[in-house]
Amino acid sequence: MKKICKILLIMMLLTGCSNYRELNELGLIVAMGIDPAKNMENGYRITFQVINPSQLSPTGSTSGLPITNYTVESNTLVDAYRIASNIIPRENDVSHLSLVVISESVARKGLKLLLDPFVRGKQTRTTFPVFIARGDSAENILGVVEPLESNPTKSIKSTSENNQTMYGLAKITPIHEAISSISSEGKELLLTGIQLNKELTSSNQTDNLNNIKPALIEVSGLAIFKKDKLVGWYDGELARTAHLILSEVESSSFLVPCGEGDHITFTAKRSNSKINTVLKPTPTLRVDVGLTNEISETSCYLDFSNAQVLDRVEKDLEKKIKEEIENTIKISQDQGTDVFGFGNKLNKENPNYWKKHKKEWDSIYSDAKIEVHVNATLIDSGLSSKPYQIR
Amino acid sequence: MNTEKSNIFRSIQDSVDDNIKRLENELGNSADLSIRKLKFTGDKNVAIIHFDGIVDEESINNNVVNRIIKLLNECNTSVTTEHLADKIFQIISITSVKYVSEWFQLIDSLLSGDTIILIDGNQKAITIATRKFQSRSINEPTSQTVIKGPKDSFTENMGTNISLIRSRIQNSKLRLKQTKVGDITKTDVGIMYIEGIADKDMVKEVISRVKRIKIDNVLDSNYIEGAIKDHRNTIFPLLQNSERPDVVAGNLLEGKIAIFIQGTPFVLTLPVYFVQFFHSPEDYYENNVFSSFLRLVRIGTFLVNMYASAIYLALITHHHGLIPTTLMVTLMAQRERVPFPAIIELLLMELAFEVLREAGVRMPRAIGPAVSIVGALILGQAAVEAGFVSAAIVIIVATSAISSFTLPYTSVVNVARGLRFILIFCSAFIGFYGILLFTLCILLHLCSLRSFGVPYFAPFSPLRIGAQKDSLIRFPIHSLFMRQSKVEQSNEMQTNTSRGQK
Repeated sequence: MKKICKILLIMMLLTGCSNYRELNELGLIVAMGIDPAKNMENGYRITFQVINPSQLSPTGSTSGLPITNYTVESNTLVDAYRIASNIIPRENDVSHLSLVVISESVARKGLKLLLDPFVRGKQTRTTFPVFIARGDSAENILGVVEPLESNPTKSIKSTSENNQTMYGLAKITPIHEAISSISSEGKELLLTGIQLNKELTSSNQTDNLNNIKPALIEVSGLAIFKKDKLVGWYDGELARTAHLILSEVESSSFLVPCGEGDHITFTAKRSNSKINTVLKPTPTLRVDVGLTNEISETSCYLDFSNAQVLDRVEKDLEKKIKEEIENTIKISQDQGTDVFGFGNKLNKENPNYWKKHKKEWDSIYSDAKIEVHVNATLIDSGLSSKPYQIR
Repeated sequence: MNTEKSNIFRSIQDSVDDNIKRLENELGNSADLSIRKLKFTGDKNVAIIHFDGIVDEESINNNVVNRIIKLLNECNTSVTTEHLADKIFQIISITSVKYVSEWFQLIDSLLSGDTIILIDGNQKAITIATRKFQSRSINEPTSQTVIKGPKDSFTENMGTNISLIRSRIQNSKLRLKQTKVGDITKTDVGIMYIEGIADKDMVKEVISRVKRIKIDNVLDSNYIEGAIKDHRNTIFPLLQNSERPDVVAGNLLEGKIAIFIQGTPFVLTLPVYFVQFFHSPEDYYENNVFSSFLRLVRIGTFLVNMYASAIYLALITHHHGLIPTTLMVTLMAQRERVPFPAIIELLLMELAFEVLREAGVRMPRAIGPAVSIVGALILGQAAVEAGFVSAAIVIIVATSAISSFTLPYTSVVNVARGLRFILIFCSAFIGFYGILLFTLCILLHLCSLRSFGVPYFAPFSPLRIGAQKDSLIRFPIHSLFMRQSKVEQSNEMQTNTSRGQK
């Protein structure tokens, strides 16, 4: 009994050591924006997006905004996090940080070791995604509330997640993947870009909620990095094709012209691709893409019950995708940055060659021949074979 | 002089009047003592004595009093007292009739419901087994109910209880040893086992432990349980108690020993394994796949009952990162206006439930609805709406509360109720680390326990693969019919032959 009393007493004394924190004393940081500092020479301007739980209560009034942005300037991120206590009234907590937005200007200058605190810190997760604010500041992008998803963090995440499954332009790149791309040999970083589709019309953010055509956060392009610096963008279909090469596209739609301004629309149900670097004897970049499609729309009269027609449109599709892939790779060759990891592949398959030539890999890559094989399979033409006739 | 006096005290005297006087003296002129004196010759008397209420009066009138009167009328006056005693002994038409010559035997049998016949000039008394205690009839079990299966339950009368077992196991090897426990109450205690299946040493050990009990009164099985269990300082039940004859019969057939106690419908069986408290008799009356699933559900709800509040508390006060963000935001929103720290909030709700539960057991039937309205409305809804507690806490406490009603044995539910509070404190201090530490303590304690020398946490520690057929899940009947769960053999008994109290 005495022992138990002693243990209980010791437990009482130990409470100071525990990290007991009540939920209503926490300021939950869900997103961070990183911009270049305005009032300092180097340094960053960090935006912390903090949840305002009382606005999300199921019963309480929801008069205000569900989030608040706090902006702090400092030379380092952790310092900014500590300084933020000047203005955040609650103990800030990064364990639920689910998004980091880096502005294009910071990325163009070079990320350097900017991402270090996220993997060094014990509290943050390493699975949250990183985005580039295209042509804008992260602060602005995090400052938009949309009617459908009033939390910008969630909005950015779910828009890009949705796009990833529906179209394949965006991709959620977790921070650990970004870091491993930056630090690995023969593979450069690609990050999804986000921007506002139009300027905010009013300085009052809640006005955006009442607008029938509000300013929205949109997924826009894929930032191409060389080492840690942003050097260019893949736009629209090019971004999608880049993900197709990386085998990241779950489903998408492809248009094949079939006449004067007419198109057949293919919906890709599955895709997989393999990249390879073949030495013959100089490296050749080889991409094998397999696609499973169905025809889901056509604007020209074609009889899809005819096998020859099917063969022909299949060939057309293959040709089109092949061209796109070649274009996409060419752009990265022009920039001299191997974003698809051909070098990485070469390192695995032919380490000796890699060891000898890794110093000049960027120039070898730029000059390498491209060999693309596309195997598009048409599984069905939907519920009808022939389009209806207009008479 | 002294010895002579004590001799007189010990034995029955010649004179009926003296004996009656002494009886009345010792029993304090008890109003329910009934004495019928019959003259047979001159000033010589025969006295028929019994207590009202605990005897079968009709049987006494027909089989004892009537016959003795008839005999006395027929008898000639010259018959000697010994002869008369023998005659009476012969004509009483009740199966169990005995001579006693010691005074204390006379008192004991009188108190246990026998009828006594004293005859002048005879130092022996005749005792006739006419005991008939008042008891209720056999009803459905109230605390261990099943949907499918036998519906009878034990009563407060030990004779009835034994008959319920005898009717299920009609075997010559079924043994009953009877003794009395309690210096004041002198309660009958029966120890039942099946010879050849039950371990002999264990039977001996049980009998000797029961005989060694020094206690004044025995009003329920728990008096015996507390006195004979291996470890006094544990909150885990080391004997199983059941009000169901089918459970006790099943245990006897597995080689266990049952202890019947007069005056309580709960029969103890021993030894017991911890996992048995999760077994319902219904497990054997239903398809084994289904009952295996239900067993796992019961174990799961036991853990929920014990851990749900502590884990919730640990999550919201220490390990915020482990909660999915959306849920975290919901929880934060709920807690926004709550004035108390989470631990106080949780303890308030837990205590409120314990109060409700206690009120539910104790209150008169007629005001039951009032309590449930107060419980449901005031605690559930009003407290949340008033912002005293968060809705999540109410959900957690209600879940853990409802989980406690799945187990067939309340003794093990009470363990979880007790440990839950300690776990809540541990988790409030150091989060999951505390929960884990205390869980380790519980497991260590469980592994150290013995029930009559048998490891309590078997068949998990020590691990017995064969016995897994009927522990967490139940195998089909045909693979169980062997006596696989036969009680441990004597080598493990030896470590604990004496009482092994810790």
